[in-house]
Amino acid sequence: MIKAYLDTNIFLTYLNVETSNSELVIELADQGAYTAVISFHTTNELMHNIKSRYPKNVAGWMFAFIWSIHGIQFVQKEEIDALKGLYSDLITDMDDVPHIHAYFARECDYFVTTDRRLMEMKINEKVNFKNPKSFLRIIGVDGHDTADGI
Amino acid sequence: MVRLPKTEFEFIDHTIEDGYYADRDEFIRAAVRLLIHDVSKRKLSEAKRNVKKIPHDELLQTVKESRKEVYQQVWDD
Repeated sequence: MIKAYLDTNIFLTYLNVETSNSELVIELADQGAYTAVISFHTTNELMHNIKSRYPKNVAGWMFAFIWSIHGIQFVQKEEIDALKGLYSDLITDMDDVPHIHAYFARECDYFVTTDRRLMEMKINEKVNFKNPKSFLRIIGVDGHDTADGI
Repeated sequence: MVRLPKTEFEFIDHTIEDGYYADRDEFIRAAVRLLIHDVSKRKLSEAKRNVKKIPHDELLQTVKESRKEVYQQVWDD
């Protein structure tokens, strides 16, 4: 089965945009169309971001929502730390490294993100980045026509 | 211990016999997960309706800022 690492911005786009391909990406994971992978770091970033912009409790509901996605896998800190230094010369920003390493730790097939900046880094030689729309096509879904496929 | 009508236990046992679940505990854990998922999805839909949307570039900028802060909290100690 296809395994895809979902970037933090997929969940935030789901919250921020009424109808998005990011929402479809999450729904298809829940239907078992592929296996979704996130890391402990994704949940940290999400909680940090949501608490600063949304009313009380939304962060908690988001955590419950993600935790209960069918078959979702969580990459732990120890798995990320074990890959320290790997391809660091190909990654522009240090703070993106944990996500790239989480992708490798679970041998994911795709890294789904709405961030073009990530896709333009040298690490794209090693990481199969896809925007939500492109990823949906791979699993046989047309998706919505949105700017940058978000 | 979960109290359910006999017919519901019979139904659960049928799903176990058919191989969908290993035992009653697994069935009930799966049911709880589904309920949590359903309720959290509804709560997030409410939040979506009630919160001001921001342009996607601005969203990415806030993600980048929080990514830096969280990275420092976890790895720069």
